[in-house]
Formats: sequence, structure tokens, C-alpha cells
Amino acid sequence: MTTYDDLRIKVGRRPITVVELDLDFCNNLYGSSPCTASVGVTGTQECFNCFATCQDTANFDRGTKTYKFTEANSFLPIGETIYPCITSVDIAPTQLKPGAFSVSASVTVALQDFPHHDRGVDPYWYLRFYNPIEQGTFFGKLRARNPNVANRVMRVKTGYVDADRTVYTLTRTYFIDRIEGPDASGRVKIVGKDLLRFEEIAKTKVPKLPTAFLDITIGTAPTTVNVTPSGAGANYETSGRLAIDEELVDYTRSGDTFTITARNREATTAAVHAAGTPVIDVFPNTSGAKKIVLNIKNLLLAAGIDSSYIPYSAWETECDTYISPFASETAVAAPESVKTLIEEMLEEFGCSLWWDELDAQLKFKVLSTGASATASLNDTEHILKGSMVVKTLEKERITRVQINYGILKKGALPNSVSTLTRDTENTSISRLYIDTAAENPNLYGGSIQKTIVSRWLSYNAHLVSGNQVQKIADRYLARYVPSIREVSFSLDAKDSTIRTGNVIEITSRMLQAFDGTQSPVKFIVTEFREVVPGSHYKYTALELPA
Amino acid sequence: MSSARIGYDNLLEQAVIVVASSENSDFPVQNTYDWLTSDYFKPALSGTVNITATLASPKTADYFAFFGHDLYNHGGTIKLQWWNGSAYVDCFAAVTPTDNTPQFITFTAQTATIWRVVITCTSVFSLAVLSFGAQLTLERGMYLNWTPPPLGRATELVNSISDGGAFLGRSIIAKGVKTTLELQYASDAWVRTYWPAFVRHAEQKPFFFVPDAVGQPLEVVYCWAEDDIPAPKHTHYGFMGVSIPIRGMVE
Repeated sequence: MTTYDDLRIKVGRRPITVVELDLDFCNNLYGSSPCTASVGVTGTQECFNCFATCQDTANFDRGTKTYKFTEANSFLPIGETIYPCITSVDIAPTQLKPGAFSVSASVTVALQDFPHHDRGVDPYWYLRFYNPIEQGTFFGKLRARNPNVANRVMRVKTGYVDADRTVYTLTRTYFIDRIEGPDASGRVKIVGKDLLRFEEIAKTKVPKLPTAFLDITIGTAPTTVNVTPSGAGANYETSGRLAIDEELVDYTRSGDTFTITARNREATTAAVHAAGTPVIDVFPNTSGAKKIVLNIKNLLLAAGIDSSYIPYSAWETECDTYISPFASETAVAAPESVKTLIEEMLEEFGCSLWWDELDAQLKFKVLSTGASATASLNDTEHILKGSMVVKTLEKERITRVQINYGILKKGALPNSVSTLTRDTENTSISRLYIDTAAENPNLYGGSIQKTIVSRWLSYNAHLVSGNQVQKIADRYLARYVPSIREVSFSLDAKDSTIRTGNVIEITSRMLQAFDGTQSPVKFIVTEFREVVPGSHYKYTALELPA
Repeated sequence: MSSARIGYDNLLEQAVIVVASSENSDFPVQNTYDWLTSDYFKPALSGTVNITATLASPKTADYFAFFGHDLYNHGGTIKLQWWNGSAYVDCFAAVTPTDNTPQFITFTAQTATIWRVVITCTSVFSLAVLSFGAQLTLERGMYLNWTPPPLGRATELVNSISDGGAFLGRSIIAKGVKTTLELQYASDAWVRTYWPAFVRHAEQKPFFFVPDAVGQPLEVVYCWAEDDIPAPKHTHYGFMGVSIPIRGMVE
């Protein structure tokens, strides 16, 4: 049985690109129960099974309809409605950016509009009082019927057509950002983005802005108190931790009634809180150390990201290999954007988070130098002629790492809510790690410092699992003390199983040793771009010091 | 007359009503005569499916053509019948396609108001283009320096060569076939009688073209004018000529 990989390595393969849009489409039939619409009563003609034309919105049953497009190609599968109107597909891949959100993947599809008979699109085409092919255009009508397309799923499938016209593809999943056009020349542009570009991640604040306020003044003992306005309690968890003025308390909740079960948590000071004081949910909402991947996951869920895109057990495995589960403990009591909070963790612990559009999942990786290579490449068998470029990233070098941490203090040291923000003044511990050899005059001859201010590293992180603070510094120094090289090169489709985040070894005449020999050099792939769909792939990779 | 034939007259388009005995509502029978290869007719069930076209008045047909199908994957046969007033009569014996090459079948001209395409399949098939009607026979065939459609393959090749000089792979993007439809030494009378109607069709829609229906009956192309259609010119006294660049599909 033929597979995608069989065709990928075949000489004379036939590439194909298919773009799919999943747009909203009502599962009901016009006028049939539960739809109560009726021509002459609710409208002058039947709807188009989309919300913008719905005549009984209360019974709109949102499903999806998939529209497929491809490039002009005379060798297409038979029996599938695929509109051959794509003029170009530009896939901008995810760029792995150590210590921050990846540069997001996106795709721009250019298409040419065309007249269309509406068969297969409008379920009631045969009832219309006009001839659809003589009225409007495909995309003109599609946009009018679907004014809200943001965040709907789109897929870009690149692959090959077999001799029997069966299509075998790799699927990249994106979310529609916008559809532009058709313009005066009939050109249409569809832009897709990856999950990490959802505006909700930047806009969502954690903890939430307070919406509930104490209805009475409370004293310093555990107590039960109601909040106002009525119903505001529902915006809070049923149990967890609250910040009230400068104090942290634990609570359980039923309706608008909060039972404060413990006062002065984390060595904050129990105090009187006046009626009308806002109550703020704290993140994380329980005490104790938390794995950073658990924090990241909970923040993404708070931003509305579907859990199916988060392969949490794989994240946990990667995280546990390098980062102690006890290394992180904090309390965030002032609302910050989810994006900011996650980026802090990625930088402070030396990790990456990116959208893998091929697996349709968010991937997590600790940027360690210890990973083993999954593929070996060389000039003769893999790297395409004239494609290899090597450059040295001098500006990335560092020789020392200063880490300030311990914002949530432990032991007898007091905490207050206003000092839980990410500020050097609020940290209680500072450690400096220096690669003295690198600062020798025969090497750099100077110091280049990276300073990390962490609200996430726990107060006692230096005591956990062989000093977690030093491990973070060591990871940074191991990666950035030597000369960092970045390579870009192209591969044929036969070698395109290499993906973003993979560790590879390259043997090339452009990576010579002292004596001119070519020894394998280890790199991590930071970008993977399909420049000629189905044929040529361009890679960018960052050196991993031995 | 030569053996070069064009099939553009389509009685399905002219019918008052076209009905399929079985139809998947997402793939209605109207998809067979919109000349598009990107949408298909599919029956709801396998077995025998009749597509019946009823005309307002009797019309003549002497060709039957189809393209864009997978009948060969579903044990399919296809034939055309005309209604003689009391029964359906086969225009030709049922054809059993073995691949997706365009097929152009000529038969003794018949005139009728009701026509029926009969398709028999062991499983549900897909069919993009059906056409039957009066064929246009050119006065003369193609001339020297002309490329038969199946040999005019238009492809885009992408080669992969390694930095060390090794051949690593190749991709082929099929762009169909390119050739020309040559009308040479056509009499003034023939051009004035037949050419304008064809041009009006070809300006809008594809058509079937068989350069040599006698010598190479299987060399059929489903094609369309690639650019503006040039006007015929007097090349010799009493004769006109024109060359139309066409692009099409042969598989």
C-alpha cells in the first residue's frame, strides 16, 4: 500500500497542495424541526445554512462545512470537489526562539475568485429565484455568508498525487486570521495563524481582574463573608487562594458566600479588610511547588486554549528530565497577561514553547545541550547545491549569569501582596555564576552578563535537586559561552522528516575542524520551511555546543 | 471533409429538464454539463443510473463524449440512448472505460426529443463532464508542425542536486497538454456557416477535440482556448485559416 513517505522519496513524484477551510454551517434543514424558519414569514428566501443568513438563530445548530482549494494542476483526484483556484501558498513556519514564545507559524494563501453555481455550497440552490452562476462570485458570496471566520480551523495539506490520483499529504493546522478580498482583480487572500497568536493569550489576564467585593468589613480571624454584586462569586473558583489588600487567604466558595479557611498565608499579615475591598483570585490557586509545565498549561487553559492541543504528558516528561518539580513556587496576585507570564517561565528556565502545525499541538522543550541527534546530514547525500550558509552569532554570547529569585519568601520572612510582582527589589536571593575561563583575555577578554529576575523560581530552588538555580545558569552558559553558529540549508523532500525542535548532526565542508577535517556538528532545528511545496525544504538550525 | 472533430454542441445544456434516476444531493447531475472538471455527479447508489434529458423539440446528435470520471475503478459501462417514440434505442454499444482518458464516440446521427445516458457500476462512481450533440467536422485535418495533444505534455520539473553533485530527487507538476487547433484552407462558406457558433462556445467553455477520429480515435483532448481566440484570416483566395492555442487534459 502506497504511503506519503513512499511518494516523498520517489523520483518523479507529483506534488499537490490542498487548502481546507472549516467554516460554520448549520446542521438543520431550512423549515424542518427544530428550525422554524419559513419563506414568506421569516424571510423572502431560504437561508444559506450559515449564521449571517439564519432566520431562526435560537435553533442555529453550528456544525462545519469544509471548502477545499488547490493549485491549477491537471492531475487531481477524481470525485472530490476541490476548487483549483490557488495562485500561491506561502508557509511561514514556526521559528524556535529560545527563552520566549516562538515566532508563530502562519500561512498566506492567494486565490483567484471565480463565478460559481453554488451547487455543493448552497443547500437550496435549486430553489433560488436567480441563476447563481450569473450572480456574484464564489468568494464574494462566501464572505457575505460567513462574515465571522476568525479562529476557524484551516488546514494546508502538502503532499503528492499517486498514479491512481489518490492524494497523500502532510497536514498543517492553522486558525483563520482573516480573509481579504476579492479585490478589483478578483484576488483573495486567506491568512492563517498558529494557536500562540490567538489574541486571547495576550489579552487574557491572570489572575482575573476582581469582580467581587467584600460586603462587610472582616476582622483577622477565619470567617464567612458574602461578596457583592449579586452573582459575582460565580467568577471565582470554588476553592483556592485570594488576595485581599496585602493578605493572602485560603477559601472555599458557595455562590456569593466565601468561607475563609486560613488567614495570613505565605507569611502575609492578617489584617482587617473594609467592606468594599476587592477580592482577587491568586495564581496558582493552591500553595506549594508546581511544575512549570503545569503552570503553563493552566495559563493556556485560562486563555481558552483547547486542552486537545496540549500534550501534557510529553511536556511533563521533557520538563522532569531537566527541571525539578520543586524548583518553582510563586503567587501572582496582580493581573498580568498570560503571554507575559508564560514567556517569563520560558526565559527563566531556558525552555521553548511553539506550535507544531504538523502535529497540531503545542510543543515544549528544555533547551539542553545534552540531547542526542535524530538525523545526520552531509554535503553529498542531503544538502542541496549552494544552499548552505553558516554565520556566527557573536551577539548571543554570554560569560556570566545573574539570577535574582525568591519573590515568595519562606520561613520567618514576611510577604505582602504588593511585593509579589516581578521586580529585582522584590527578590530575596541573588546568585551570580561566572565562566571564568571564558572571561580570560585569550578568549573573550571581558564579561557579558545575562540577568534573570524570576518570580517563578522558588525561594529554596538552590537547595532543590542539586541546585536548580545553578542548573539553569549552567544551561545558559553551556549554550552561549562558545561561539554560536547558525546554519541554513535546503533539503530534498526525501529528507524532510526533520522538524523544528529536532537535534541533528551536520558534516559539511563549511564546518571544518582545526585540521580541515569535517566532523559532525550538532544543531537544533529552529525553523523548517517548505519553499517548493513537496520538493524543497529550507532549514535553519542553531549550534548545540558539544 | 476531414476526420478532425470538435464536440461542443451539448444537448444536456439545451434540455428543458435533466434528471438522474439516482443522485447524491451534494453532487447533482447538473455538474455533468457545467464543463467543470472540479465538480462531479455522483449517484446515491451503485447499479444502473439513467440520466434523462428532455428537449423542447427534436435535436440531432452524432457524438458522445465524457471526461473526468472513475468508472474504470467501479466496473462501469456507459452508453447513450435515444427515444424513438416507443422505446429507447442504443446509439452505440456500451463502452467500458479502462482509464480517465477523454472519450469521444461517433455514431450514426439520430434525432430525438428524449435522450438517456445509461451508466452501470458496481459501486458509486464520479463523473465530471458529459456532452453529446452534433459534432463539428473540420474541412481539413491538422497540418505540418502541429503537435498531437497527447504528445504536447506541459510539465514543470523541479530537480534536487546535492552540494556534492549527486542527484537527489525530482518533482513533476502536470500542467496538462498544450497544442494548437489548426484551421487551414477552410472554405469561406464553411467558416461563415460553422465557425462563429463554435467560437461563441469556445470563448466561454471547454470542448472536446479529436484531431483524427479515423486514424487516431483515442487521441482525444478535453481542452479550452488558452487565450483570446484569433479571428480567421483569408490565407488564399476563397479560403481562410486560423490557429488557436489550446490547453487541455488527456488523462
